[in-house]
Amino acid sequence: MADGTNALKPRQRKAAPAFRTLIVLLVFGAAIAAITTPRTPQLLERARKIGKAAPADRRIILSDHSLLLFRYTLRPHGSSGDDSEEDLYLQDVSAGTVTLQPALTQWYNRCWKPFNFEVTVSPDGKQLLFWQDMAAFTGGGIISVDGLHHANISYRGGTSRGAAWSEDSRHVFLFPSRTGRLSNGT
Amino acid sequence: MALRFTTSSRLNRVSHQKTSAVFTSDSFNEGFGRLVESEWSRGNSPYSPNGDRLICIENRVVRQPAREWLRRLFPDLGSGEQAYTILSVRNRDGSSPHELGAVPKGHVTDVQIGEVFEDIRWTPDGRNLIFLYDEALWKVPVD
Repeated sequence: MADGTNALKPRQRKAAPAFRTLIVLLVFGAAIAAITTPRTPQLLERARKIGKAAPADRRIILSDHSLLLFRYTLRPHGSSGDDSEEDLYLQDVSAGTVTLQPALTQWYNRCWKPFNFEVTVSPDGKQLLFWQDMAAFTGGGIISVDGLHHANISYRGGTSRGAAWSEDSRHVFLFPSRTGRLSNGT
Repeated sequence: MALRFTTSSRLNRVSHQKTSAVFTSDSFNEGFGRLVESEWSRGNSPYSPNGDRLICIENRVVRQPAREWLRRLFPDLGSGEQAYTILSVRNRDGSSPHELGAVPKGHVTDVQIGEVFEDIRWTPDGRNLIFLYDEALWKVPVD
């Protein structure tokens, strides 16, 4: 036993300096990395988590405590059978409730489902502006989050330059192209 | 004054990041001038409710020289470039950037083209931003 231990000692003596050098190099490298790595402020350190978002295929922020959720269903949409309808829900993140919005869901699937639209939430979070800007169809629709009040806006002649809400959520600015004509909806 | 936002997606081949641009104009006749590079493809407007400020989302690559040096010794260490998504607020003319903070996107080789924030919007008083990140809703003051 004693002989075996003595036989290993020369190898240990050889390995020890190399091992120490490696440790020093690693510590030195880590120190250099820590010093030279730019410090980037972390967003989540200063942000406040309001709550967990419920599962959905798409989510849109309405306010600092509510989300609009889009969830695909098994109900077919259209005659092709390639697409399915979506259900729209209102999530109160603070209270932890998720509520189906039947009127909004019906209007959305009837009017907007086929389109590649943009949706913009009014500053007060109570209304949605859907806007489609394609050669085939340019126009939009405004609807309250509960789906009970809505209006359509049609735009004739080419593509538009988009639409945006006013600060007080009472008006929508439309930016027509030079050749287009704008008309109020139904 | 008429303000408008739009997006112009393109692929930055150098850093493999999707970027967009925010445009503004005082007159339709003058056309739109590019303000700042920012990742933006959401329907919600990047402009604050009173139109004074706008949200900017940028992907930034930070080089880490020491890590690159160490990678010569340890090839499995990963890239020496760390990617971040920076959330900031600027004046509507693109001036006075104020960074609110960053979230890491991983090392450059791992970066996927896409958005980090699922949605972002202003509070009605223009004093906070609300954003969807990592399956949760967050609120951050802008000042």
